[in-house]
Amino acid sequence: MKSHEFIEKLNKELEVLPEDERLSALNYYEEYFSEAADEERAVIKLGTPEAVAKNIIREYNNQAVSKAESNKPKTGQKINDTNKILIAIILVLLSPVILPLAGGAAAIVIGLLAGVFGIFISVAATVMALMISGYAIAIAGVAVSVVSIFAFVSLSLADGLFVLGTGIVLVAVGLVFGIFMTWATIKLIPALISWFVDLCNLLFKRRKKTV
Amino acid sequence: MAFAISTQLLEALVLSVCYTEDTYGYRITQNIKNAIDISESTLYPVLRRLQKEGKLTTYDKEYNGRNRRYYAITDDGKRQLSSYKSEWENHKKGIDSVLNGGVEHEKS
Repeated sequence: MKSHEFIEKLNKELEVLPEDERLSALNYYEEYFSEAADEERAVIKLGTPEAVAKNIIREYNNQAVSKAESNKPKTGQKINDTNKILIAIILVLLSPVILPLAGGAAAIVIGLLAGVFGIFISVAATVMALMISGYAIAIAGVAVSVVSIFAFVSLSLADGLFVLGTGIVLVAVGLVFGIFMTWATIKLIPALISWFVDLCNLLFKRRKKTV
Repeated sequence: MAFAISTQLLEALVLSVCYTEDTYGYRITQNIKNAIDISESTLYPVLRRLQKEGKLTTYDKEYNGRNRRYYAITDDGKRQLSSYKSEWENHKKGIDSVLNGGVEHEKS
């Protein structure tokens, strides 16, 4: 290989480096060849342009790494502060997007929570209403039974018995229903309350973790 | 090339050559090559690093119509050189003492 060939190849291999690095290396080796008594021999002794370039690039990279490492104590802090500032700036810039989205997400969560709460309330109310109506029926049955006396007196025995029977049935059905619903209420409402509290804890605890 | 030469040692050699007098690249290489067996391609990266670290400065001077880039040692470079030299003395003593006598050393 002629020396100018070597230089051309070296130039190509060193393209990855900054310009001043590349030019400095080329200058060195051009000078080196011009000083050498036997150019061709000098080329041979240097080795391949690829190998020479690798050496130069490796050295340059090592320098960059060790410079970075020697700055580490400072840049460690600087990165933390810089990162924080960058994050803050990004959040501010994106806030027109972030805030509505966050607000929307919060609204959805609150809406769902309210919906669940509404369901719980309606279930509890239904059960309690049924309980009350059960007792109401029972009371009505008592009233009907009382009325049956009039039926006995003013109408016939059969009529009286019919009314009394109806009244008793109503009392029975009403009491059964009422007692069952009472049991349901006693069981259900605490359960509903604790479910709802668990749900809220689940949501709030999750929030705490991510913060 | 029985023993690979460390980059610090190579730096010391380059600094020493330039300490004697301002020298251009080719001559630095030849001086060192006359003393020890090293590959020519190892020298430029060392010169470049020393220059970037401020231990050497360069200037160009013309000679017979071609350009020579001379490397001169700086005060920083002189301090580094004397530090290297004393380290080398210790290192050399240690190596020699084991090689020549196999003396047992207590770990200090």
